[in-house]
Amino acid sequence: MLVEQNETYPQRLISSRNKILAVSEQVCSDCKMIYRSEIGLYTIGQEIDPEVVNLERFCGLSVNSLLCKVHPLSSDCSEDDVKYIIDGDNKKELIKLFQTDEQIPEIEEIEYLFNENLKVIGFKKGAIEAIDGNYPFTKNGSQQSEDDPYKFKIEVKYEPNPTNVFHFEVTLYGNHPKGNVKLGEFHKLKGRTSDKKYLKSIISKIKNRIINNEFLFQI
Amino acid sequence: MTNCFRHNYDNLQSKSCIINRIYDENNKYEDLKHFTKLSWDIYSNRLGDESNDFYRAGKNEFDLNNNEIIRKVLEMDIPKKISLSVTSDKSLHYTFRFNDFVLFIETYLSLEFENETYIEFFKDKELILEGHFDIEDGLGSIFETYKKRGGKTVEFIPSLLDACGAE
Repeated sequence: MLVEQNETYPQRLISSRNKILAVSEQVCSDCKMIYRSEIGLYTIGQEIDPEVVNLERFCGLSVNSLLCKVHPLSSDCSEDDVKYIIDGDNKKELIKLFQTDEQIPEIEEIEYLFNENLKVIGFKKGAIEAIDGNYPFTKNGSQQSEDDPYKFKIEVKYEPNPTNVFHFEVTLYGNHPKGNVKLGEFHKLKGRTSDKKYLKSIISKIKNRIINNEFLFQI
Repeated sequence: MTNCFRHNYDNLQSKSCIINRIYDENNKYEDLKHFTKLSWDIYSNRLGDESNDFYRAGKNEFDLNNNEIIRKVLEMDIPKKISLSVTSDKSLHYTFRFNDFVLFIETYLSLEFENETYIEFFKDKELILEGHFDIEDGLGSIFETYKKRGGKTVEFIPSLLDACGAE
């Protein structure tokens, strides 16, 4: 249920240069990253549903950090942080990348909704960033030549915005030739625009690694 | 005399075991067919409603290959876990988990070209087969790889029990 809130937006989520610096120093590979989902994590066969890692969603997936208990700022994080949805006329300004303290919003001016019915899925930052591999799949499983296969990797990048100091983004990189990018150089892949021929192979491999190793969990 | 009796008894026992096993596997085949159909019914709406071209392409793919996939998997072993999902990426994604092996078969649907099937097969987390296959060749390669990597196989013919009954 999407509920319009009367209470003011949580101050603990508001960005500032100092707080951003603290988060970036504290986050580690054991920290959990969480994201919202309208569907449950498992299929009726009790395996992770690959739908939660679908192609368009996974490239640029917005996640929030749930810092490990040992980090001082962990008490500012909550499993419910991903259920806040910024709303209102100034929404665009409030969710763009935070760069200067001039972007710190007036807390009373933040309109937001809270969807308590959303499910929350999590993973360990280090586990997802350890997934890498070659693409595309070769025909009939033949050996790939040394020059042929391209490589992909995943980074969970810190991308704080004015209303969410714990905001990160799953970023996918590949090194197939593209436009002016030098041969072999990694470039960011986008779900909607990148070459589907390559993306399908990459996402299929990521789904399988996640399911095989049970890297996702329901919060 | 005793030996002859013993021989016949053993022979009967062994036949009985074979028939029981065929019976179990036929049951398992029907169970898995039923289970995957249920999964299709639950998740196929991610492709759109029944009038949608991708839904129809998915239904064709499922009808054409699902039974063959199950049959070949059961020739390898009875999976401990099986999962079929249909994703909004326009794919049918199977997961089969055996004792040491995990098999993934994902078919991306296409309205312009042939559907593309990607297979990854792991033993103890080690990737032992991967590639872009047509289903028939892919299932053959999985089976061969499974045997080479020490997996025990069984000859599984779903109609064998009927044939036994008719004798």
